[in-house]
Amino acid sequence: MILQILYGFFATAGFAFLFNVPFDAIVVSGLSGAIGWAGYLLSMKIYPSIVAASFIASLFIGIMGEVFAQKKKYPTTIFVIPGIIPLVPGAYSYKTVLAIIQGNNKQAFDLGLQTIGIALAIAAGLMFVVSFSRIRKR
Amino acid sequence: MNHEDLLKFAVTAGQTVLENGGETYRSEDTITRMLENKVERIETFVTPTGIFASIENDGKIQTTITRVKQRDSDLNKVALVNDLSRRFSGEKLDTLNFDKYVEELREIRSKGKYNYVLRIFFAGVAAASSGMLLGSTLKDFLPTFVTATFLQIFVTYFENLRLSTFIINIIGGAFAALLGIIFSHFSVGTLNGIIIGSIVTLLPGVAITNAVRDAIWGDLVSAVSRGVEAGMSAISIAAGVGFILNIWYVIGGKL
Repeated sequence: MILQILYGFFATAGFAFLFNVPFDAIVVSGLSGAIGWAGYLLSMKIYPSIVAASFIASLFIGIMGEVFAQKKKYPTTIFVIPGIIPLVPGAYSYKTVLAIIQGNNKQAFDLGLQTIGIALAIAAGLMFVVSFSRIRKR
Repeated sequence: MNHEDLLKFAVTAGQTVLENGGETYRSEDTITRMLENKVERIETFVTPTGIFASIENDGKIQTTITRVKQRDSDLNKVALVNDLSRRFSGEKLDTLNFDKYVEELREIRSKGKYNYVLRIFFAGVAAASSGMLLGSTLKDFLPTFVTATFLQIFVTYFENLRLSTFIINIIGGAFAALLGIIFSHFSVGTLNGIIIGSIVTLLPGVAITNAVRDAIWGDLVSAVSRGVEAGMSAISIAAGVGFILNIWYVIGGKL
């Protein structure tokens, strides 16, 4: 579990580097990715649903993004985009199309729904945080 | 400085945000916020492939359309333009040092990315670690790292040749599958683990999520176009991988 969180940190920080995130924000965005992934793993332990876990994790990442954005005076995107990297359904989208190519239509349908479900969960989680932080700022 | 220059400047700022991975609404926000207190009325309509903006002054309307063709992920530029637009929106029209801002934006737009070698190294780190999150075993870590670094060198090279993303993704997917087959054939790592890990830097995970985010936000046009973009890149990558896997299967290799 701790090892998994460490991998989450490195995956996020590596992507932050590729996305050219400012140097002093790379470790922080790695941290938000690691915490998000920890939330995902915890939630998977309590209730094994990938979609629900993605939602919980993206709530964490959204909140971290808002907090860090206020502290470091960067836009939230800088922390959120790398942060959601461990969660996003990139691999699912690839598996979906690969299943179509290999003729497993039923499997492709399941994977496709899974892809959309995860994307919806992450987007909804992030929007939740953004909406509430806007209310608070008023 | 006249209103045309103001409009051009604000749209260039919005374009920089859009081209470097900023969300559509952030680009719209940037343009609107910068001009709001300087012209009578400002309307913008931003899609992932173009920016429309018009301002109204004394009953005269000026409009500009900017086509956006290249899209990249360079969040540093997004942060810098965000900062610039915040400062610019606080300025009054009559005390504004316009040339200073134009020069600053020009500098931001010409900024480069991190060092090439480091980028390749971190692509490897990101891919190998993501692979571990996606359920690979420790045995896959090193081969995934190697495959992903070579893939990144490959992709950067083709990007500099200005090939279309579709072609780059097909070639990249095929390349990753090829290396994956070679590694797993000599039983260094498992085929699926290596492939999924190393193509992670190409996969449109963030694009799919952004598309859904745009849809929830109400930017329906940009949601659809980002969704199509994400779909196309998933298809092209899987086509590249599937092509090599099928050939391997036909010539009698084990999957």
